[in-house]
Amino acid sequence: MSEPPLEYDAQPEGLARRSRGLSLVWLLPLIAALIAVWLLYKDFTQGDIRVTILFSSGEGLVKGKTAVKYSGVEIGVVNDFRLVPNAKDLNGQDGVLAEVSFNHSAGYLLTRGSKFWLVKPEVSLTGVRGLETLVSGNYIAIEPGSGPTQKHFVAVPEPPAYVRGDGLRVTLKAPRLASLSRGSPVYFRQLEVGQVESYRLSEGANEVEIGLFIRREYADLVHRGSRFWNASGVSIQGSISGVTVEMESLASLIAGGVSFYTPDSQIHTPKAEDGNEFKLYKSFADADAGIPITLNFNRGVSLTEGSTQVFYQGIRVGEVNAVKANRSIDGMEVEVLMDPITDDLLTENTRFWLAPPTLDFTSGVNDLLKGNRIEVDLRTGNRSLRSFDAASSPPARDARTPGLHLQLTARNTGSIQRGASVYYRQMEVGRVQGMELASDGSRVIVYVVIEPRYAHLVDSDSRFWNVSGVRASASLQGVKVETDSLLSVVRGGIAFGSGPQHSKSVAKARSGDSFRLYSSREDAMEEGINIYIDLTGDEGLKEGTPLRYRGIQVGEITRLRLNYEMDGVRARARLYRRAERFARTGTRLWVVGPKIGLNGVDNLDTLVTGPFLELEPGLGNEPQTEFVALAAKPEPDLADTMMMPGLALILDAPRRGSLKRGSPVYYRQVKVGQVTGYQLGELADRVYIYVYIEPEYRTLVREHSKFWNASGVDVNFGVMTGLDVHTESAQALLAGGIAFATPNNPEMGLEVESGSHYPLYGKPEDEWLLWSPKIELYPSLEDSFK
Amino acid sequence: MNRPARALSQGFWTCLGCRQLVPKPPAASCLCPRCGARMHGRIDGSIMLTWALTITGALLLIPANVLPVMTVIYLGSGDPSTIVGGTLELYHNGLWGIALIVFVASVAVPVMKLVGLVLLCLIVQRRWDVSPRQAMRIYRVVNAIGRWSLLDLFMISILVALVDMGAIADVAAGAGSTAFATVVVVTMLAVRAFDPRLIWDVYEEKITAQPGLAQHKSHRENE
Repeated sequence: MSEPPLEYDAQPEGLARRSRGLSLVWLLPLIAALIAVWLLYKDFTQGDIRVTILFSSGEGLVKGKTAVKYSGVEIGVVNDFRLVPNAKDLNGQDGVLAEVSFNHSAGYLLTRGSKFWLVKPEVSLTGVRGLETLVSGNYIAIEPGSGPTQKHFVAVPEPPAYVRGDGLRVTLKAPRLASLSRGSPVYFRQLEVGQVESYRLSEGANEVEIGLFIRREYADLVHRGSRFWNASGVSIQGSISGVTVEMESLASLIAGGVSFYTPDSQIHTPKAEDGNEFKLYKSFADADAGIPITLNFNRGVSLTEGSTQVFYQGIRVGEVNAVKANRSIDGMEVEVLMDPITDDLLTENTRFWLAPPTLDFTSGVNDLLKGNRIEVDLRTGNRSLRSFDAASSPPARDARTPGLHLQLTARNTGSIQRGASVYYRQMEVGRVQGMELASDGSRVIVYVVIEPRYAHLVDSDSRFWNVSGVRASASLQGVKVETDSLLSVVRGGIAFGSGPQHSKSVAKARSGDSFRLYSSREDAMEEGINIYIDLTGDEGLKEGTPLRYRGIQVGEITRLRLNYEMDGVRARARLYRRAERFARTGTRLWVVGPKIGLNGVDNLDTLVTGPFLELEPGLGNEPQTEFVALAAKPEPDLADTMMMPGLALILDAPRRGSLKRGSPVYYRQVKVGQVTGYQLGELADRVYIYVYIEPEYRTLVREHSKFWNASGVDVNFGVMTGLDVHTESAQALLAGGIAFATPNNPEMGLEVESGSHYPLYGKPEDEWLLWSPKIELYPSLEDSFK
Repeated sequence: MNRPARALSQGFWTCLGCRQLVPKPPAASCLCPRCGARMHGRIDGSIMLTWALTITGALLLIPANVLPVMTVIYLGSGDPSTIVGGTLELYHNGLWGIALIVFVASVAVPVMKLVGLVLLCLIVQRRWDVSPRQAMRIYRVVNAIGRWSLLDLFMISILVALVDMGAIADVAAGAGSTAFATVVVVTMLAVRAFDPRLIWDVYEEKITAQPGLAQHKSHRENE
């Protein structure tokens, strides 16, 4: 492109270009028109379908929010409500008419026979339903019917049973509905093959007719001679390692279900057809659908026909049908009907025995006291049996139970019984399998099985103790009652744990290992060494009284006896393991009890908890286990005070006055030390009073310091001055005390050494009280240790 | 004659980019010698282009209002809302101030723009007897309010970008917002396509035909 000249007087020429046609612009409105027309068409042809649904209550419906869903897909929404008084579809009750706009695509669902119901979150015994509505809100569900199109519907109060597809429909007749409900499962050998579809009262209202739906693929299992009974969803499965009991679900256990079974004798009856009627029996035994077996007891046992039941791990699996004496009249033959679910487990390895009545909390209050019952241990085996030898007492142990098998030997077992729990940190980890007297009768052997997953908790260092019963302890802080569990109080229990010096390297326990069963945790954990203490009297001590050092319990008295000479008490105490070093020469012990005196109140808590033994470790290195308790806390002796970092002085007084050990020493009415003792002088002409000044105050005492007795009251009376009462402190008034003053600098003199003598004056001169020397406290550490 | 001189009648074109006067070339359009922009005496087919874009905008206004502009998904349940629906919801919730703003920005302004454009086209094409100053006023208003409709789109795009908390809350733009954006863009293009000088061309024509009227009119307008 050539640059045009930029001169203003010459107008530049524009550069010519040919113009194009503009007709393409009209494509835009054309496209827009197509879009708009298409949208309008869609809206017109695929718009919402207005439908009304009559609900008995508008609860849970929200205008503009509550959706209609089919197979989880939203196909409509509630637009509006209208109250309908005396709706004839609802037998004259007031109803709520919901106007719902449906997607055009869902129009085929709106046929006669379509059912609508409101889905709300529902938690009941039979299950949790509609949980998603917690988040997304209630919705209306639809089950399509088949028939001509319809625009007005009446909602059903609860969801129809979830029955889809083809199947066999039979009717059961029962005197009572029991715990069956719509949707309850129908089992055949624990396999869910159908469900309860409906129930209603029969004509005449003397029976309940229950409609069952059996899925097509299982319909062949139902014969004319099949027996139906009320069952819960328990399944028992056997394997090499043992047998597991599985509940189908808690819901089926409670809500019940129907089981059926075709006895061998009826296997050739024709197949059932739609509409056939059957009787619903109360149990498999009533249905006569049980497997008859014979138990041979070698002695007479107390069993009741029709009432004694057979349990497997708490689950009823059979019932005694007939009891009679055997041919040789030395035992009994018991005919039992076993639940068909145990069919495969009645083998040569299965054991039956008679269990005594037990007090059992685990199965609820109703079953607190059970009568005799037969227990069975179901096992898989190679051979199916129908006749068993039953034991009249529970087996002591069964090595086939998976887990760690241990033997505990005890002097007596307390309330422990078969089935009692074994606890580790209050968690149940095992069970008592049985008990047996040792062959010589001296001990009881308790057989215990620890569950396999907890077996590693037991090692050769573990200790077992009995946790039956209740322990209580009281102190000022409160009363503490301890029990491992209520169950263990009644049924007994065993706990185990590791000893205090437990190390990780200890070998794990193996099946068959034997342990001692201690009677209590304290016994089991007993450690440390015994020491013997001679006391003049019992001083209120008891067995269990603690030994303390600086407030921490380091041991306890285990026994109190009169000594051999009958003039004192001899106590045996156990020092805990960590406190063993107290058992050496030089250790002193004394009894601490409540003390109420002029100096205050001490050890008041011992009024409630009782006195205890305080001990002070000795410096000696020789072990010592024999001690004599002191009457009171020992005071530091004079030699010791001389060694202490403070200042030890000796005051020469003509009389002792009311001074005694512990009397305070004041400087300007501040306590700076105390009297540590006194004794008569060598010539008995004076009393030596030993005074100890705290290290930080030792600089206050100088060569020319004056000491006087501050005990008692100093009363001055003058006509002009009035009454002047003076005492160093209220305690000094009663218990005595010493005060001192130091002259002003520089007359005060030098600091003094421990052991210096001063005269003790009876009272201060007025001048002394006016002294106010400036003395630096807290001298350097070197000085204070001089 | 106290009428101002016009570039075109003096044989000049004005460049719309840099206002350069250029002697009228022989062709229908040329490039500005100064800034290189395309120059026309008058924008080629201005009225036709404006009509086309205005009609496009008017048609697209239908999907923009029928289709949801955004879907607010709160706790798993979606709630698609159209422009009018959203405005009504705001109004029912007592936020009538915000409802008014949304209404003005997303309903009144596009409609006003389209009505204004139609009026301008008719004034020029039909030679309606409207004072050119009134027509210019319409043009300026339509030009000025053009971009304010984008307020809605800003809000939607910000919400879509910021509110993304999975199942708890989510905002998704709907097809309506695309249509709406197209309306805004198309109407802005329509305003650009309209050549306001045509108004004065029409006026000039009328005066030439009826000088007395022009005398009278220009007098009145000069007051």
